[in-house]
Amino acid sequence: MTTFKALFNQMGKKKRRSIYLLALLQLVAGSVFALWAFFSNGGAFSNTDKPLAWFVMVATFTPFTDIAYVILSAWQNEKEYSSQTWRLVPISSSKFYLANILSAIVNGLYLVLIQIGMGIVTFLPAFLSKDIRTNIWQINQAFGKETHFWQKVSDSFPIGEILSAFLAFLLFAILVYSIITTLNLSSRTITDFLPDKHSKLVRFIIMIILIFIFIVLTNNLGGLLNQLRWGDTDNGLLAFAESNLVMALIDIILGSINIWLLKEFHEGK
Amino acid sequence: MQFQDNIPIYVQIEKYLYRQIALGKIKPGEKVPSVRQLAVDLTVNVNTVQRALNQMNTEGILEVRRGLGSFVTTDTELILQKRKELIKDTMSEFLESTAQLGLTPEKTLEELKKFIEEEKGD
Amino acid sequence: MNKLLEVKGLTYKKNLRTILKDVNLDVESGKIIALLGENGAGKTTLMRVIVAIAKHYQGKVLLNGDGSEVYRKANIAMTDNLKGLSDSTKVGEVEEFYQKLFVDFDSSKFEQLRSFMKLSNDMKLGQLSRGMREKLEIALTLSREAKLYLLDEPFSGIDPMSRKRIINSILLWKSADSTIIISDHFVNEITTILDEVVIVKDKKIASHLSADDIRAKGHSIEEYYESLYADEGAE
Repeated sequence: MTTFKALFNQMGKKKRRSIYLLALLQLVAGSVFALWAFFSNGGAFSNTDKPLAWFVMVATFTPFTDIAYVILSAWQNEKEYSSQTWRLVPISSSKFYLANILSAIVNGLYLVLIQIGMGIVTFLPAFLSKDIRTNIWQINQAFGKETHFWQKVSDSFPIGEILSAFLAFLLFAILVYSIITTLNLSSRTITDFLPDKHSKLVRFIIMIILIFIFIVLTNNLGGLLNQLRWGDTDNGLLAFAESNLVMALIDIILGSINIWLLKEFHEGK
Repeated sequence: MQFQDNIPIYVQIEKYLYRQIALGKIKPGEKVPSVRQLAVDLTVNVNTVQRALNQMNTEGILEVRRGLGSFVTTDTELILQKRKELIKDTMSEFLESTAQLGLTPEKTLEELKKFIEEEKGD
Repeated sequence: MNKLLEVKGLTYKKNLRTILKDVNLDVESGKIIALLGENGAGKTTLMRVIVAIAKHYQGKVLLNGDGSEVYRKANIAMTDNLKGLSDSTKVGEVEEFYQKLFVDFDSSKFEQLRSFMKLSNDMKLGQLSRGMREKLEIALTLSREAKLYLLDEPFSGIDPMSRKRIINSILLWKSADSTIIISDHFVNEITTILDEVVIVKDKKIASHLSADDIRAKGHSIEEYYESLYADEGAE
């Protein structure tokens, strides 16, 4: 029997490829735009801000890269559920499912780390500018004068809320992957029970119906999901805890459905 | 070797080994190649070779010694007898095919003699 | 010889079509068996059910008396078309994939098979010809120390010379108690190595006989196989 770790590593390896490619694309695209901004007169950046152009441009591409990663990794996930090559691996459906989703998320976090690294590197030229150096120095001074330094830090970055936000982010990522998988697996399973004439069209229609059912369901949960919004209640932490609980619950329900479909119905080709 | 597809393979393996023994290619008391070796040499299944060897063991031509392999019997009398059987078999097969050409055994003998003379003349 | 695989009352449907109907099959360990049948007769489906890739069937599939999916996948090695890996994957990476995911994978055995099949580690999946790809699939499958091997039409793209050499390697490397089932839609040079022949026809197992029993009746395997299908043509 194959261990969870071994499968997790192999699934992660396949996703890691796209990460390096995406990060490189982001860096190249950001750099090209930054060069263009640097050499064009009267462009987006004033002369004093120009050293910041590289950082700003590369950072601007971050959300696009991250969305591209979610799409690519979700596609890779679904490919593995439907692939005989992967499904031949002697491991239970639940471990297979968890390894797939978790490897997608862990690699997503890895991508974020790379992006932070790129942020630091692209910020370096900014230190060449005297104005920016002075600004940084001033901010530093302001912090340094505070007697209760850590107090200040924990006030500006409340650790409890940061952890809750991080958890919310993780649960949301699991939710996104789970929904895609549920739609894919359930529509395929239903088409397997229907005649295979016009199977693509049939599957498309089933998909629409399923999405419709999903929307109706989430609307009914709307009251609870409203609390997902950041800090619109007095007690931020409690709101977080509640919404995280709801999301965790949905993750577990969808996960159970997916594992059941994988175990009983969905075949690798 | 080439096998005929409509005769059990184990029977053909037996015949093959008998021929080897009768021709003295494997001598009395000598070890027969291992089951796996024979299987690979002849491109046949290990089980099929085993079956042929077992059969020959029951007939006494081979002696299976546990863990050592199969050995040809030292009973030369038995080998001679087997050789006679083989010759007999070949003859009857030959006569069967000539009979299909409408030749009686006597006529076959005549034709055979003629044939041998002609071959010598060449 | 003990019972290795047991298929009992297996019925499999997909898209409202019956593909296998009440299939029963017993297989002993240590055998080499041909699974013959026309294209679309259900050979591949039968293999996929046995290895627990095909799901939602009626009936039972037991390997050494154990029907669990994980146990079956762990002890059955089936040839796979490797479609789950991208075309840019190198042979060496495919080997690593197998080595990491199948604990019974023997790398030294694979190295021998790989060099004898003239596959190099740098070749990419997308560059391989059909025959080369089939060789790789066979090499990967045979490198596992499984109890049961399922080779699904393994030789279709491979030239006769290489076929013979692969068959020889099977004879050399097969452990005494493992069983190999080879499916094909026609009878080729594998006949001499067979213990048994299973013929699939009309969604069922039409015949399951020992190869030498067929020959003992004066039929070649090919004649016998064709005669079974000839009845069909008369209808």
